[in-house]
Amino acid sequence: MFDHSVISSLLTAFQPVNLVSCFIGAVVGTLVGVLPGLGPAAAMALVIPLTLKLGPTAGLIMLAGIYYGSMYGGSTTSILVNVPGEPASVVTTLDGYVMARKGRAGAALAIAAIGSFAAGTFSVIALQFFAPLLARSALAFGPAEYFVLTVLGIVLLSNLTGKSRVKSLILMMVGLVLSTIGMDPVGGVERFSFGIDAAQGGVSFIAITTGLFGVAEVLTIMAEKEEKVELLPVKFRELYPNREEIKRSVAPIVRGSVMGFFIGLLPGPAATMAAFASYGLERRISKFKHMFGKGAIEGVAGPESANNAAAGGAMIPLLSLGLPFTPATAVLLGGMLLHGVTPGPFLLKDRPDVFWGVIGSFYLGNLMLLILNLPLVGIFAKIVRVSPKYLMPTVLVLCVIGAYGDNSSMFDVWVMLASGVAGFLMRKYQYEPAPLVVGLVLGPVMERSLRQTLIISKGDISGLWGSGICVIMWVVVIFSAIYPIVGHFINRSKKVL
Amino acid sequence: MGSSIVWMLFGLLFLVYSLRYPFDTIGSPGPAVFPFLISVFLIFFSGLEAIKSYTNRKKEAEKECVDEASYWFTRVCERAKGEAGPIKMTAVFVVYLLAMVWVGFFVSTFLFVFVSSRLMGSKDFLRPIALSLGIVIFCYILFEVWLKVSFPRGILF
Repeated sequence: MFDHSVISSLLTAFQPVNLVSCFIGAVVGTLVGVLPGLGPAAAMALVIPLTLKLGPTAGLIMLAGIYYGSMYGGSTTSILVNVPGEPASVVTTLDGYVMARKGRAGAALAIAAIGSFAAGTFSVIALQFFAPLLARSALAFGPAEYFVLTVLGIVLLSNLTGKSRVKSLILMMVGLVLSTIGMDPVGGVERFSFGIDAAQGGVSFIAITTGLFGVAEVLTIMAEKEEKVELLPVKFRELYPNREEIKRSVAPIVRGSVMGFFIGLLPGPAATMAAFASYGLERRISKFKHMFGKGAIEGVAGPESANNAAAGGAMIPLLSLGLPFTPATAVLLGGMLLHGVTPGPFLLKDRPDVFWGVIGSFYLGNLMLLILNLPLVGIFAKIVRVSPKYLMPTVLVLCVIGAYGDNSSMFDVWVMLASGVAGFLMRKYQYEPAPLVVGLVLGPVMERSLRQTLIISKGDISGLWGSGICVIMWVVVIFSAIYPIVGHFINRSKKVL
Repeated sequence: MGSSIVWMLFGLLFLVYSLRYPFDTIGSPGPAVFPFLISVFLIFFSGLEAIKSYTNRKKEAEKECVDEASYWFTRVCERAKGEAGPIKMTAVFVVYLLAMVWVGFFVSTFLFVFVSSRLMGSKDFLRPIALSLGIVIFCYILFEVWLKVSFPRGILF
């Protein structure tokens, strides 16, 4: 099985046309990830007509290349200028950008590239061996399980930044509230648009994140101008991670890869959820807890591995069952159908050339991305050396393009500016904006699954804990919610004694 | 405490507004249910934070042997330090977005980059102009020509 699958996949991928398609896809994907506003789904949709001329195998290899290439590229702007190229890279800003300001941009970028490569390769191996088995287990998750999963996410990630838990919960609730603007996900009723036509489709995720991180960062730098934040000079050999940083990154990369892969099997914004979950986990178990938010390499290694592994994991339901669980895999499914390929249990039997070609391209694509990205680290790292008076206006224009390009709507640009001012004020009042993004991501999944569960159980609230998986997850939710409170009282009583 | 009150009012706005939509039944929950529940949680957590900040402020004021009002005033003044720059930049940004609809994306972006670069501390004219020109050309070629993003067009370009 191993020999046959690996050899056939690599032989197919090594055909010149497939090799070139893989390379172009990986490069375009990296650019898409770097540029804010143009997500992988939109880029893949733009490229589909071109791929029709290449035939199914090469065409789909190119589309898949864009998909995982964007996961690679997304981290670059997060680390360099605090503007996440795509939602899954939001969490990378927390430590990656701080590292860049301390003169360790190169190390952060290199670890992100290595972590992405390792996680991408791990997810391909897992995809190759466990696809049918894992696809079936993913289907065991119904609306009730998803609802508990989102509650679990809220509870576990409430301590994401290690600062005030209540402040994090407030921002998560704000994110959840904002996610309800626009069409209701079950009945299609228009809500909270306040008479603005452009708000009927909801608030743009890209507009909010570019505002909260990019614009807010520029305003913060302007406020700090009197204090003169100077970047430390960097020598060439310091551009790359040192032995200590590599050692500290190994375990987070392994954990992020495994966790990201399994989260990738679930419907919804898997890559973003995986990155946040990995950051939360690393913050809890790391020996360097005190460094998180101040430039911990683990805070870059874990999430970057997780979001790439999730991209691989998301291919399992797509290839094995024909179920796209993310917008990007939905576009990929569209591309497959246009090429006359029907994904599902019979894909391997009917079109082995396509199946193994795409899988093989994952191996090569990950390697190409690593080779492409590592030498560029030095060039990218130099960007942070550019004086703020030239860099920041460029960042602001990129933010505007990102927000506008998402829906070609000026309303989104105004939302971005409002989010930027809000983000600036949040920092001033010690609110870390990342939990708001968690709420915004989980909101639609949470509402849909809650309402679907109640509809299925005909209003019987016990439907929310109707299965064994639900019960286990509720126990974890209750334990995670109570533990910090009990711990707080125990610590206080110890101090009194 | 002020920030918690702002969040509380934000939650209250959505809570009141959610009452305009149907709740329906528990067996078929309507579009008002989820935003209503989340708003309640938001108000609850904001209230909790407000109480926490009030207690902390009281303790800090006692520690520094000043009355609560003057402690609060000092904190507000501390926070307001250095805010002139961000206010100016926000104002320029607002003018830029308004101008974009009238004079078009490329002309307004050229002016915005120039003004914001000067605001960030550029002393000369040549470099900000070169930067503005570079950004506009880059945006035109990459986004408009290659990626087919159609930016707002105004009376000029």
